[in-house]
Amino acid sequence: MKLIARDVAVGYNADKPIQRFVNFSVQSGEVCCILGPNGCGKTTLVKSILGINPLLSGSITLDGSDITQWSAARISQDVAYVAQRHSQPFPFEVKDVVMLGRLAKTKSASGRPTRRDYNIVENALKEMGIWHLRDVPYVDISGGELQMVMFARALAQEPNLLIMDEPTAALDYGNAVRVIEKVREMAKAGYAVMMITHNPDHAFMTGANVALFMRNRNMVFGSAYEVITRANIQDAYGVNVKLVEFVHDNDEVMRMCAPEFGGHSEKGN
Amino acid sequence: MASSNKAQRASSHNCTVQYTARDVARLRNGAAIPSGVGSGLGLFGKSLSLAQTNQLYRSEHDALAMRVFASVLILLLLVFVSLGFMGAAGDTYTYSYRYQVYNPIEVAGALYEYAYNSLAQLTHLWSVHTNDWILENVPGYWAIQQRAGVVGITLLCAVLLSISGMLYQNTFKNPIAGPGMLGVGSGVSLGLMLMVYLFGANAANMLGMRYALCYGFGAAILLFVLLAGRKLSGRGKPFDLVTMLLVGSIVSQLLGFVVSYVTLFLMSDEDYLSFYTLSQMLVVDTSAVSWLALGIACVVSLVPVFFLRYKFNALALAPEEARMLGLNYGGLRAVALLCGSVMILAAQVHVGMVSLVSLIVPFLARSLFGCESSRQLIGNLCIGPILLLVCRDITDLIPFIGDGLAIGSVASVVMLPLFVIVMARQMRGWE
Amino acid sequence: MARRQNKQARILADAPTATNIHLADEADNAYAETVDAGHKVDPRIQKTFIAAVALLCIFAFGLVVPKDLFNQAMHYGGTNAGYSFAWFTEDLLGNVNSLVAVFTGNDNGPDPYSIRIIRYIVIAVTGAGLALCGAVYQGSFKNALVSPSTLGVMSGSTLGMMLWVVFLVDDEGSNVAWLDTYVGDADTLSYLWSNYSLAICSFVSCLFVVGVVLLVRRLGGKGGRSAIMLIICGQVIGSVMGAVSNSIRYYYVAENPYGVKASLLTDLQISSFYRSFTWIDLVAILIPLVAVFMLVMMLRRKMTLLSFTEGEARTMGVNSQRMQTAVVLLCTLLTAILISFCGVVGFVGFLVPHLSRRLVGPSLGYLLPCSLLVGACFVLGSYLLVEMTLGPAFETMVGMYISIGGAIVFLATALRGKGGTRGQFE
Repeated sequence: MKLIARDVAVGYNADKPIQRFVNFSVQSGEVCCILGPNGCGKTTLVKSILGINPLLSGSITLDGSDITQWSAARISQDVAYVAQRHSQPFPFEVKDVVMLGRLAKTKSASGRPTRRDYNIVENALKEMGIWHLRDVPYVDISGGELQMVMFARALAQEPNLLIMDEPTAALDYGNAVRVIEKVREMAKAGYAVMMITHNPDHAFMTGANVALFMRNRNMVFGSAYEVITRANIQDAYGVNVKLVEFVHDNDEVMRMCAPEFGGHSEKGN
Repeated sequence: MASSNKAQRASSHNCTVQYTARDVARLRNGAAIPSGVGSGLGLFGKSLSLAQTNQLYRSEHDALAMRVFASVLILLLLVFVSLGFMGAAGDTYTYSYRYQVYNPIEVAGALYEYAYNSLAQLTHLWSVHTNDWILENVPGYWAIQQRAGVVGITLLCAVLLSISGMLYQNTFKNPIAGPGMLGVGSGVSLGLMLMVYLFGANAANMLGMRYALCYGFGAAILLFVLLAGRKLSGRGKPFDLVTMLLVGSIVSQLLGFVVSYVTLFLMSDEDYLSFYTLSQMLVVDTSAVSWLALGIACVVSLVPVFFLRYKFNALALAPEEARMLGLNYGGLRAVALLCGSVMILAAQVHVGMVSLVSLIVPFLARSLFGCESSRQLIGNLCIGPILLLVCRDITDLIPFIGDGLAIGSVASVVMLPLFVIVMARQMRGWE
Repeated sequence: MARRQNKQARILADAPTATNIHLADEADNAYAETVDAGHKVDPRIQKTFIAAVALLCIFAFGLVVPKDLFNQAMHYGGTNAGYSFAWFTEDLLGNVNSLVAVFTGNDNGPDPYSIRIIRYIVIAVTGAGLALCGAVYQGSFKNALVSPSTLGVMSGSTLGMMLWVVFLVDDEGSNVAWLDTYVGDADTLSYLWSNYSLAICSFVSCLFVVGVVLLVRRLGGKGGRSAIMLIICGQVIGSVMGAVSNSIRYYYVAENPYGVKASLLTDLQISSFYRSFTWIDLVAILIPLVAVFMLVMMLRRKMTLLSFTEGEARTMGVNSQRMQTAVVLLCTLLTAILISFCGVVGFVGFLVPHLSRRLVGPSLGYLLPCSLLVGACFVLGSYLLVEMTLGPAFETMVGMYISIGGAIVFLATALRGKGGTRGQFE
């Protein structure tokens, strides 16, 4: 399964596009990180893929067919979205929340869960490590656990493409690392993952392709090692970094960004 | 408990699950893989998965079954008490006293006799019992039969009231937006006012026209409010709720005042009395026309709700979130509002204005049965009829001038201690 | 693009050191400010001022323009002498003379004109007070649907009036004599009682209802703490009281449809401003209104904090729960006083804050005075409209006409426009 975006322009109305000439692709088993400064249109881009905002120009195709023409029901068969913020108006139990993910895909017409649905929900809960929380109202759990619940719901949808909007934004360090670990596992399991993130290190950790938005409305797409360079980071965030490479105990090579302090220009140039 | 939770959490995070292609395939096919165990279990794992089916919801389903069973028992008991304790329903054939008590065996006998006679008249398979035979052998037959009609309508209307309250509260996520707020009930008052104004005391007899007018006006107002909501929300967005609520409450206040003005000042007092009797349904109409209208309204409104009962969970989400799960939020909301409005319209026409039931019964159902909408629906089905039947019995047993008390008034007073108890036990309905 | 470049060029000419392109953003704003600094008055203050002027105009209009035009036109139109413009101007001048005479003083005792002035002031004050209460309710409950009737005060007042009719009115329709002897020989007390017994009953009943609501909420323990529960309690108690009132009314109408009590009950249900007001009434209403208004304006910053969560509000020094209860109780008392004196006017507290919010925005410092003035305009204007067209016989129904007229107007504007209520209290 491959999602390709060609020369996409996104925005809220036709004469003021926020981004233009966006090109990237994701396919099964890959991770694509979308990086860029605040307000450069990352969430708008994702909403265009999901059909919430109109596409101003260009094309987004999933395995060759134009995804912007699809209905919401059709999109939800292939794509699952984990939002940044979750409102919790009612004290649903965690397993009910995850069961909501099955509503798109369940075989029964009325949405009544079948045996298969129960099994999938169970698997999703166990994969995310929240099986012990299944009966707990989801208003009583911590932020990290809530994020895991939302992942489980996205997984219960059995998607081919998983889109995550800043999944580690409100999480502590340990939970953030665990989330990145889950992303690596999902990519290995065959999902295509698209992740909006604010931390360039995540791209290195997940071995991702990166779509980097710069301040001057340019966009670069390529593998993490190609795109995340000192110059590009300076262009995008206005921050000087040094790229550090080291080897873990399990012989995995990891690269990370180390910011330099003092001497940054406020607005970048 | 906290420490064991932590231990569990640590273990589940520490284990690295190695996924092979076979695991992925099994995952996709919906087989259950026990956590922390690799793919080596093979057939044993597969048999385990069969045994684990529905383990997820087993406790919920058990609790639900027990509660439904208990409610059905209580309801049966109440029905027998209600049928056996004749309050306002008089025995028109024998002119028996106002307070007549029949024991459950006699009640059962009368009901059996009713079924037997009706079937005999329909099918002519066995002989129909004559009135004299019934008078001799089946005590209280006509009184119980009439009362059964009243009880039946009360039960149906209770179901309609409680489910409409649930739908409105879930749609608006606002606990003070009761189903009357879209102004549908004021259409019923308007229709009744017109009937009484035009026809005087005869209005009580013109059943067909009365129902047509009331349902018609109610539906017209509903359409008006929905169109107003649609007009004021953007393209592709679901109906703007706050605007609809505002329009609905203004319409209901407006019509309420018009009706008050006409009934209090322009009508003579006897007409006012008959208007009050009709609008509060002090005498429940159990004719065939009434059953037909109520039946149609029930079918039209309850069947879609029943079919969509699992999808109504998505009403708790934000519209975009529901869209991303593949559900049509605007469509669900429209169905919920339409069905809820038809329900409250039918309940108001047949039982009068009972506003507190729609507010409190969903509250109770959420506390006792949980938030998940299919279980909450069953909870409303169970609790609503019990409460309204109790109110009906109290209403009919209290001697009051004229045609009696209004069930809405009694329901308000009866619900009050119940409401305090629900609050005191900190049952969670809302965050 | 061209405009922006021009501005840049101008700034660069003025400030030759500003060569960096990014400073142009700030300079643009500074430029705009320097141009308009002297002329900018906050439009919200402007609108409030316009509302005050409108109120005065309506007031003057009401005092001067002849009343009962419909009836006059019909009456005089039947004869050969039509109700012409000459008659109209003659009436107008007569009114102006009387108005001037009030201020220049005359020795003929309380003339009908000063009574009329007092009456209009009382009506305006009622409208202002109800609108103020509505604005405070909607602000402190963060819910666009609440109004002063949400806590059941209106049904409490109705119940009090019904109980007054049931117990304290004999069959001739005057006050019960036995209670007069109870009061004793004090002249002021018996005067007060005979004139204000209905108002006192109504007020006591309102207090009772509010007390019951608070009691029920207290019984609810921890479950009753939140604002939503206060609203729900109020609705529940309000409907209980409404049910009792309805049953009482039905009882009396069923028993004796043509009796005095039945017609009194019917009238009281729906009438407002049914008594003649003296300056005692005016003072009794004005003092609470002014006091509450000043208190609420002093507390407005803390009240704005009620829109944050309780924890956040506490860190800013506000105990949200206590503040909310205090403010709500205060406004309920004011509403109770207003309704007891003037009868139930239900729609104003719901509609006028919405209108004012659309005019001046949700900030309390501007919203409260504006809704005060707009409420006064609204009620006084409706009253004058009714008086002018339908005549003095129908003026007690003004509460209802306000509801009907206001509802129609609101619906029309809401349906024509795009609806500015979205997203304000979602």
